Amino acid sequence: MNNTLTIRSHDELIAYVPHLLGFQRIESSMVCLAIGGGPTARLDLPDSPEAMRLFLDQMSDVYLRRHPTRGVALIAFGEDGRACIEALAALGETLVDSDRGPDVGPMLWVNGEEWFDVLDGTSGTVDPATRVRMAAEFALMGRAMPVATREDLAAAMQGDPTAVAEHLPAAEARVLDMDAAALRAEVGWLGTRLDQFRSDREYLSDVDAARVLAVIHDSGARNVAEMRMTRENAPVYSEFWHDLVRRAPDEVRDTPAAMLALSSYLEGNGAQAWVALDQISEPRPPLADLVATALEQAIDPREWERALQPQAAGSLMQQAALRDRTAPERRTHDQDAHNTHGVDGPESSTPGR
Amino acid sequence: MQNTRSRLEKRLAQLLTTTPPLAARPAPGQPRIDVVHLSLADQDRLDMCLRE
Repeated sequence: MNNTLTIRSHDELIAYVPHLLGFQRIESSMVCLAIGGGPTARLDLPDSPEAMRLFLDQMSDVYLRRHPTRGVALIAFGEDGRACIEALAALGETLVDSDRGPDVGPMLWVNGEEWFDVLDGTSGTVDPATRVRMAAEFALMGRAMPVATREDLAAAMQGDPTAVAEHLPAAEARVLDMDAAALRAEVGWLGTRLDQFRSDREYLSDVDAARVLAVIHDSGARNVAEMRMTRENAPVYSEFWHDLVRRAPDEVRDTPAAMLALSSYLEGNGAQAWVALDQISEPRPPLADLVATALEQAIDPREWERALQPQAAGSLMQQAALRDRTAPERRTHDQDAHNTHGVDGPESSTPGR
Repeated sequence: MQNTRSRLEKRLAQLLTTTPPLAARPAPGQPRIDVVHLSLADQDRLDMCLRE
C-alpha cells in the first residue's frame, strides 16, 4: 500500500470528505473531523429547534462523552447558508463551552464547489483538479472510490438473485438433513471457503453461494464467519458479504446483510453499515440489533476487536457481572429484547427455520 | 432465520452492557449519525494536515 495522501488546504480537506464517507454528494449535512484521534461523523443539518437540540446532543455524545478529542474541524454542506452557519455556530459553541471540549477549527460552509471559512472570513473554490488528485491518491492506496450518493450505496446492494435461487432449495434440504457431525463439517467448509476468498478474492459460484446462504443462519456457522473478521481484513469480507447480499433471494438475504453491516462497521464505514441494516426485514436477526446499537452509540470498532480476545472477553464479563449487581437498570434494550443466553451455550443451533 | 446468538454475538452483547448509554438516542425516522473510524495511519495523516 502506498500512503501518499496529503491535505494542505481547505479545498483539499473538502475533497477528502467524500472518500471518508463513501459517497460524493453531501447535502444538508454537518461533517465533523476529529484531530488527534476520534471518529469522523456526519449528521443531517437540523430543520427545527427540536431537531437542533437532538443534533447538538448527538454530536456532543460523540465528541464530549464517547470520544473526547483535542480538536475538531467542522464542515457544513448545503445551499441554505443560514441553516449551515447557524448549525456551525451552535455546534462550535456547544463544543468549546464544555470543560472537556475540543478546540474548534476550521469551520467551513460548503455550497457546491464554493467554501467559506466562518472563523477567518476567507473563501474559495474547490479546484476540480484537487478532487481528481485526491481520487488518484486514494486509488493508489487501493481504496474503493466513493459512489455518487448515499442512496447509491443501497442501490449497489441490489442484484439478480435468479441464479442462486435455482440452487437454494437443494442446498437448504441438504442442511436440514444434516446430523451434528455433518453440520460441523459444513461449518468447517464455510471457514475454509472464507479463508480462500481472503486470499484469492474470487466470488462464490452459484452453487457455493446457495450453500453458504443455507447454513449461515446457524449460530455456529455465523460464529466461524464473525471470528474471522478483524478491523484490518474487514474490507475484504465486506466484498464477500456485499456480493452475497446482491445475489441472495429475499428469504435468505437478512443474515448476509447483517454480516455486511458487521464487516462495514468493523472497517469503520458507518454509512455502509447503516445501509446494510436497512436491507433487513423485521424482525431483525440478533446480530443486526447488536451492530445497530454499536453504531448508535458510536462505539469504536477497536473495542469490539478487543472483545473478541478471550482474556478481554473474560474481563468484560467480570465488569458486566459487577455492573449487573450495581446498576441493573443499565441493561441495554437489545439484551432485554433478546433474552441473552450464557456465553457457554451450544455453539451451533439446530438447522432449520 | 433463528434468533439464536452465536458465541461472538453473546460476547458483543456483553460489551454493550458495559458501555454507558448515550444521552441522545434518535427515535425511528429521526436522522442517524454516520460515524467513520479511521485507521491509525489515516488519523495520523489527517492530524498532520490539520495542524499545519
